[in-house]
Amino acid sequence: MMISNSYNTQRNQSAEKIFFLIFINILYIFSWFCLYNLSLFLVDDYLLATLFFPMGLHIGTLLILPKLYWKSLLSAHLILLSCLILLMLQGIHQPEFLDIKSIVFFYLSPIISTLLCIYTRKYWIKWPEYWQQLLQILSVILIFSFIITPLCFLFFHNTLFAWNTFLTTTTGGVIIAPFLYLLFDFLFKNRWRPVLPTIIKEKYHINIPNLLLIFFFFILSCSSLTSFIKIWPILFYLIIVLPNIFLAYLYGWQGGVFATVINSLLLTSTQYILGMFHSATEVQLFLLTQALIGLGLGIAISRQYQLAQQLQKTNKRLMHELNANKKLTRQLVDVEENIRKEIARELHDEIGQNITAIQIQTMLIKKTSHEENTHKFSDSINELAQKIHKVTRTLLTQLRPHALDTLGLTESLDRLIESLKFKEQNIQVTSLIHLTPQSCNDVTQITLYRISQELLNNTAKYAHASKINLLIEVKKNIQLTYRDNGIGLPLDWKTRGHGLLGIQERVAALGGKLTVNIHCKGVFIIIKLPKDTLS
Amino acid sequence: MNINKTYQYWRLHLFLTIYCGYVIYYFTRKSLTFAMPLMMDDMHLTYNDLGLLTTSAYVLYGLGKFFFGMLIDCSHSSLFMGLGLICSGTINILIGTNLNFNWIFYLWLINACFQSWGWPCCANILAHWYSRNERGFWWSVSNTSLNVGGSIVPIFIGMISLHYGWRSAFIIPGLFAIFTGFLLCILMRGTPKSMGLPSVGEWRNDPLEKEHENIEPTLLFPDKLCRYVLQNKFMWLLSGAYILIYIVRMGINDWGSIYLVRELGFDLISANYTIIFFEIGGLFGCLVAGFGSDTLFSGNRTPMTLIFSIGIFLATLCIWITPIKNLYILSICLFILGFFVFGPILLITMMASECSHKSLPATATGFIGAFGYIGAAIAGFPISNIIENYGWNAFFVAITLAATGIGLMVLPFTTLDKKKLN
Repeated sequence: MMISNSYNTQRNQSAEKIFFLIFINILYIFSWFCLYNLSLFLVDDYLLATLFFPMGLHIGTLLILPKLYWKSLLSAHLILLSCLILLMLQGIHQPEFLDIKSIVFFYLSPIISTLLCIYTRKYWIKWPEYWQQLLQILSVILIFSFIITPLCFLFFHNTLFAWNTFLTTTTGGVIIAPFLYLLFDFLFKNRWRPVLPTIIKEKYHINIPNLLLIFFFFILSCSSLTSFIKIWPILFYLIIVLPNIFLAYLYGWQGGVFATVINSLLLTSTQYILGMFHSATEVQLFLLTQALIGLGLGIAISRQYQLAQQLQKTNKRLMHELNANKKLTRQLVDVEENIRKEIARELHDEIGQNITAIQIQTMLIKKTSHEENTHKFSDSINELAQKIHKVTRTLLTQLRPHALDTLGLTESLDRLIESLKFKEQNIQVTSLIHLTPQSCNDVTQITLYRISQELLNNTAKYAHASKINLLIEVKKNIQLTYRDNGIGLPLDWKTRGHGLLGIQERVAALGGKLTVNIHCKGVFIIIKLPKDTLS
Repeated sequence: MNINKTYQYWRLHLFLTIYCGYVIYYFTRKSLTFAMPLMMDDMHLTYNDLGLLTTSAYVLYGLGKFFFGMLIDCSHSSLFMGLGLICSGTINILIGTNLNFNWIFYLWLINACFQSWGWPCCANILAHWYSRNERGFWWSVSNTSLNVGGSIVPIFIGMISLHYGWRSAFIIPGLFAIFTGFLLCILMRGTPKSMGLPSVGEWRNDPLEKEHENIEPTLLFPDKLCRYVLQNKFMWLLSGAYILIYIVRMGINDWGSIYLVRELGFDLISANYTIIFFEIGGLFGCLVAGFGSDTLFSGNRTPMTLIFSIGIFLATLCIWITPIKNLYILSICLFILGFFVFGPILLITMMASECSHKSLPATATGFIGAFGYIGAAIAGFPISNIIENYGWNAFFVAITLAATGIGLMVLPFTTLDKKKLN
């Protein structure tokens, strides 16, 4: 069973390939024939007709399909051209002129376009984005027109005919080739899943208002073709491109291309019924303009959309990374504070006790011994111990203001201000602290404390101020406003020293913001910290 | 291995049976159409009489497809196809021996009802004996019986009526049909399960088919009917598309030759020959559409339908606008149009049977078919009005709009079942 299955799939694959070749061949012949007839109506000359829509089909299919399928396309093209010549020789299809020159030109033009496509296919896979490929299609068409025009002049020595050729080739290509690209993109770049009755539970996504609007615009353009063209030509030109603009706006390049083709066919059929244009050139110019508007606008809108999406994606990623960064720094701050607290406790418990023990021991030595030297040594040991005690205490307050744990932020700041002895320097300090314990966690409290400490220290040391205002309050954020009337910050505070810079880093890590108002006399700093940052 | 052989034998057997049977169905279905010119002279009938007769027969045939489709799905009987043919043959003989047009009128309407027993039986066999990844091909081949019948019958009936008179043009196909009907009764079989074989999904090990078979297998018939046919919004979309495509098909079939004769000034015989290309193109179109949807789009019929509806659009424009109003060129155009029109007819029928319950193929295709023949009726009277009041340009505009509509109707299916590659 398994063997037969694998045999089947293998056979199926080759059958699929052969079928696809035949399928393309048939579709190519049929659509070429139909397009040729439509073109013949519009341009009224068989040479120009082959260069009109059929050439767009030719270039479009060659560029879009892999080289594997080219034999099918090219053989189809050869059959078509030969049949056409045969029909002309039989007198079924009577052209105005049929000489050896025009037959050569007839066969030469597809050869040139094929060569061009062979060259372009190299870049086709290298640049796979839709706008790159669409631009490639357009450029091939333009280059082909630029080659075929002088050639045409060389062959027939007729300037008007050469210009017509240029216009015809460009118009046909710009209308048909992008549409083929759209069709191919839609049909073969999707993986189709067979339909099962389970779809009755699914919903289809068709936007009815949009559909109605599109319909409305097409009807409008159709009615403008029938009525406005004689009365207000300019209005007519505007209205006829409305569907292109609207569809391009809704669906990007796909919409633009689709609208272009539908509009062209509408125009062709109304021209057949009413004959409102007087010459082929007029029709073509018109077709070309609306096609370029639809296509250009479509590509631009799609590209814009794509870029905007990319930007959004990048923004999101950056945001994510920034958040991760902030979280990490906050954790760092947290860890640092915890370690400090730990060390402070250890120091306090261990060293404090031991020093007391040493002091007691020295006193005991003093009491038990009466030797002069021993007294001296014990005194010096005592002195050293006291020194260590003092150093440790300063260290302790630096590491972790003990008061903060026992008294709270308000009290500890008061103590800090007291300890800096502002009164003796005749500096008047006003501090207002409105804080509730709920709004403010441990890390924020200690940060606020340290910031105040740093700022107060700076003022005490360098500012020569006579007034200090310190205000901490809870609004949307926790806000610390600090102001003195001293000499102010040095201009290069951002680069020199670590005090204020350290504060800024710490504030940023907690997701806050530090603002320095440099236009005032003295120091004027506002710091905002988010409420309860770590929850 | 034994099962393999039995299965393969019965598949071929049943396929040939339904193919030949359906071709014979055509003999008693179209007998009136082609015997009509002689009948009109003989019985002094007007165009209006015949127009009314064919239009009401169309509607009755379409409705019959739906109702008898339900009956066939309910009863699981294999006798319907043969019985229908026997009855239809009898009625044809009755028509052939009758003198009164009133009687012929009603008999022909009853004939339309019996005619509608044919296709649902075929759909039933195709849905139960062929699995999802090969059905497109087999269905399309069986659908060519329509084109074969459509091209043999005019010649056959035409010859008989010319040589032996219009009455024998009813009686001979009638006898023929009764004979074939008895044969069909003997040769036809039901589902594989009724013959003790495993279901086709199990036999071919087709996961999709098995999934289809296992969707609510024990549901009661009225519930199935409501949930999978009447309340199935996709079925309604398909019906809409089917109406439109039948407007195009019947519009070209019925009015094409008149356009060629009246507007372009060709003679009747060459015009009729040109119209045959429409059918021939349809034959190829069916095969390509069925096989293509199997191989290129792994059994999803939507993309193929879209390609073909673009083709209809283009081909209609081409016939209409082409500046070379030459019979050869127009034959090619009609061939192309036929190619693109008959493909979606097949694909939409298949989609209908595939998006309804596994045991309802006849009902689903019958439901769609009913709408198709409403479309055919529309192609008769309203279109003739359009031609009369607004000219041939309006006729082509209507046909082109219908082609656009087909594309729009299947568009919702594309939003369901695809995933962007890479």
